[in-house]
Amino acid sequence: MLALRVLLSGQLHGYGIAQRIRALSDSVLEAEEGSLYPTLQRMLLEGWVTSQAGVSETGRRVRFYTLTRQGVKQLKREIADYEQATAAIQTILRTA
Amino acid sequence: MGKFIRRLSALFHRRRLQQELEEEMAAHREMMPADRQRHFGSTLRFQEEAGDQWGWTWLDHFRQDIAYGTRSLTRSPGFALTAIAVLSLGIGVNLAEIHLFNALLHRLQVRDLDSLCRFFRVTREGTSGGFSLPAIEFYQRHNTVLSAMIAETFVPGVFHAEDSEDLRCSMVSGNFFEELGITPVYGRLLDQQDDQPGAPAVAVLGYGYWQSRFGGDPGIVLKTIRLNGKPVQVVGIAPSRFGGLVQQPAPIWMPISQLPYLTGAGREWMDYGSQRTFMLGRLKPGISLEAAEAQFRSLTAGLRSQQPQSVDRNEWLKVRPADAPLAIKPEALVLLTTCFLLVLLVLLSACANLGNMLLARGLARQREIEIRLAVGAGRWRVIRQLMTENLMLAGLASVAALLLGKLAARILLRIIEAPPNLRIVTDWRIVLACAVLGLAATLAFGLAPAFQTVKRGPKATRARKILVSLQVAVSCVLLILSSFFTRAVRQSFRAEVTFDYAGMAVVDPSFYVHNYTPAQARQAALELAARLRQLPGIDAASIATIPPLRRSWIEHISAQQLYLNAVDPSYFPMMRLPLLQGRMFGPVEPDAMVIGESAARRLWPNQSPLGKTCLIAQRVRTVTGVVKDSGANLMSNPESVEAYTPIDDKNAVYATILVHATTSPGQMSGALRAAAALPGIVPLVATFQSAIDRQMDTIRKTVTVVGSLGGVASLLALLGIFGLLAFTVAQRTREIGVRMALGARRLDVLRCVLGQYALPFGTGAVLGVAVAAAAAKVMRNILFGFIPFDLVSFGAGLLLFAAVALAASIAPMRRALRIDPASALHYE
Repeated sequence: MLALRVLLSGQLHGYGIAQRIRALSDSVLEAEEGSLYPTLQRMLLEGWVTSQAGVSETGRRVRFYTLTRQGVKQLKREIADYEQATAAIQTILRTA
Repeated sequence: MGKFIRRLSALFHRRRLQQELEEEMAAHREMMPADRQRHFGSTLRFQEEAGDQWGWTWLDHFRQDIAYGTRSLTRSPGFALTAIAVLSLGIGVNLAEIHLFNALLHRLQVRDLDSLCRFFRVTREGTSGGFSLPAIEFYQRHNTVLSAMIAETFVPGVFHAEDSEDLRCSMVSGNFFEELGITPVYGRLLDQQDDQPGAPAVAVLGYGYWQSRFGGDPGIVLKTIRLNGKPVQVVGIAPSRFGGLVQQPAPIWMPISQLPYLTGAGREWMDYGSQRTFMLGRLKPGISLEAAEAQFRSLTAGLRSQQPQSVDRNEWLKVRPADAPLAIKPEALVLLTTCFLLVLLVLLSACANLGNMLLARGLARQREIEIRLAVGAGRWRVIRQLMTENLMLAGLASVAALLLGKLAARILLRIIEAPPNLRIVTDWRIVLACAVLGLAATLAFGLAPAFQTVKRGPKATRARKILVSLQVAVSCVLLILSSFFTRAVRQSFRAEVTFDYAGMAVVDPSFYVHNYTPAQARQAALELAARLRQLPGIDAASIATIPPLRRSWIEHISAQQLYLNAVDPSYFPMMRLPLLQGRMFGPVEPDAMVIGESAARRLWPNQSPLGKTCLIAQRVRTVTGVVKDSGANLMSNPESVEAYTPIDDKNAVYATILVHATTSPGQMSGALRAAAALPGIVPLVATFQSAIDRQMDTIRKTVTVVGSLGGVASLLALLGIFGLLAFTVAQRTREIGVRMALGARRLDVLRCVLGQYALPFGTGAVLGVAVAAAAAKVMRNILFGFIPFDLVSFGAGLLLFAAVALAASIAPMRRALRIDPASALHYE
């Protein structure tokens, strides 16, 4: 979900996505950055993102990922799910 | 859908995607600040995980397994070749059997078979396929559901020049070949012109008859041959794939209009009363069998109003597909099933053999497998690897088996002298059967050893022992059966018969085919017998409806099978059947009956049978006398008992004349046929010996088939036992060395190697004898009643197996005895 959210603002390569997630979450979410790649493959397979070949800032060949319409839809669905879940948790916390 | 396409395209661009991913990750790491490098995680692991997402990992694994299997098989080519040979033998014999079955059940090779149907008359007396010619003409003229109609009848007792072999000549309507879409091999086939009245007499030869009688010489076309002494021109040869329509195989086809010319029959065979012609039709497109049946029902009613005396009150016509499956006789079914079981036994034996080899190989590979497990291979992955290897073996063996099976089936057909229209074709059914057998065999021989190899443990030896006893049992069954049949052939026909069968012949005028009334038939039979008795070289003649050794008529009296025959009183002296009690019946005494001594014992034990009554062929009969057993039916049934009734109005049309010649009856057949000729009838003449020869021939063929199966099984057993012992010796070399160093004698060494297999061998042998006994009993009951059920053949079979086992164990034993204690202790 985070990767989808980050891509909403435009196309990025893998390192860029990782950077943005780290920056946006103020380094709270510190996962192994490599685990991003299996996730990206899955998103490609599901058709949520597409990839174009490009060149990175360091001059390496990398893929730039762009969100598709389907991806936007999926992001909305995930955000809705997430909000529903947190709302439920908050209700429980407040009443308990 | 889009997902599927993306997945598929990933399959084709796998390498590129992989490369892109690698570069991408490398770039990622480069861009990370040095202090954060370790936060990336394991590149390899993520690559694998990323690859998993596309769902093609199994394919990679499969490819790896195949590569692994290829490597490990090519590293031990001896094992691989033996395994493939063993398995392809096992599958091959099964395929050969299926080939044969396929060939026997093959569909007629004619144009548009599905629209072809055959008609049957259903009357008070039962269902019959015979129609009269004017009735066929009537139906042809008035029906609207058929696009064409085909008529076929046959004439028995047609003789080519001086041949003694009689031909059942097929007489067909002129459109026969054209309608069935048959094309000739040479010359032309029959057409409508040939079937016009007054057309010259022409004939088409069947492929098989052409091959056997004329040596396949195409020069026969347009030549004139003499059938029943009348000139007939051969105009063509039918193709080998077409053996005939109703009558199969048909040696000769002639136009139906030539029937009077060929047989001298008068106008009467054209009447409504002569119902001997088969009627077939081709349904118009879209007409169902039911619709045709409905129309023919009303047509039959119409015919009845014209011909009330020849059409039954409730008569109607049944319409059936022309290609209705053959009604298989129960005996044939039992025989086929037995054969199926025997070839399955061979396959089972092959699987047991291979299983054993794999177990041995698994033990030898123990170390390799252990290393694989130790470095983290999953148990399933290893099993899958081993099974892939087995599957490759089975695949190669199946391909070999396809060729082998076809070859074996060809040879078998040659052995049983099958008609040439039986074809061995590798169609999808054969390939499917091959694949199924291959897969089943893989599971049967491979799964247990694969598990065993991964698990290890003491069970391995038990599995081996079970497999060994199984194989021993199978080999014993096949060897005992082949020795049983081989003995049977050498025994030759030695039944205890009272009569001089070698001097006897039967003259069969087939009155029932020529529409004789019972009274006419009886009169004609008596005249014929009297005429034949006058012939020089003939010293006796009699009349019976069932010629001994050739046919049988069985009725059940209170659960007792009774072999019946309706005979003239002169039958008893001719068959050398002395009267034991009571009296013979006279010529006109329809309610009397004479029985054999065994029948008297079975039906009325400890009582006098004279004056007892029983119901036979809808008539109460009284026993007037008892004669000796003739033994005429022993050939088919060792427990046959006999009874005789006088010839009466019901059975007179089936009368045949039996004659006894002072010299060889075979040389008399021409004279007999000439002397017995009646207007319109050329009777069939056959010696008793020919019936026996035919039966012996069947046995000989069975022996060849069972014997070759036995040979295959012995070969498998030889390989199996050899492999087993060789492996045992290799495995226990060290132990044997220690024992020898401690002073063990040679006998002890042998005991050490052989001891553990004594029990499985014994179990297997006992099991084999039991199964073989059951199989032999079944065979004896249905086919070869006169074969003695003796212990010699069983002993011989077992001895043969012992010889095979001994031969297989010589080499490993020598190796065990040659072990040098010093070097054995170094052996590893």
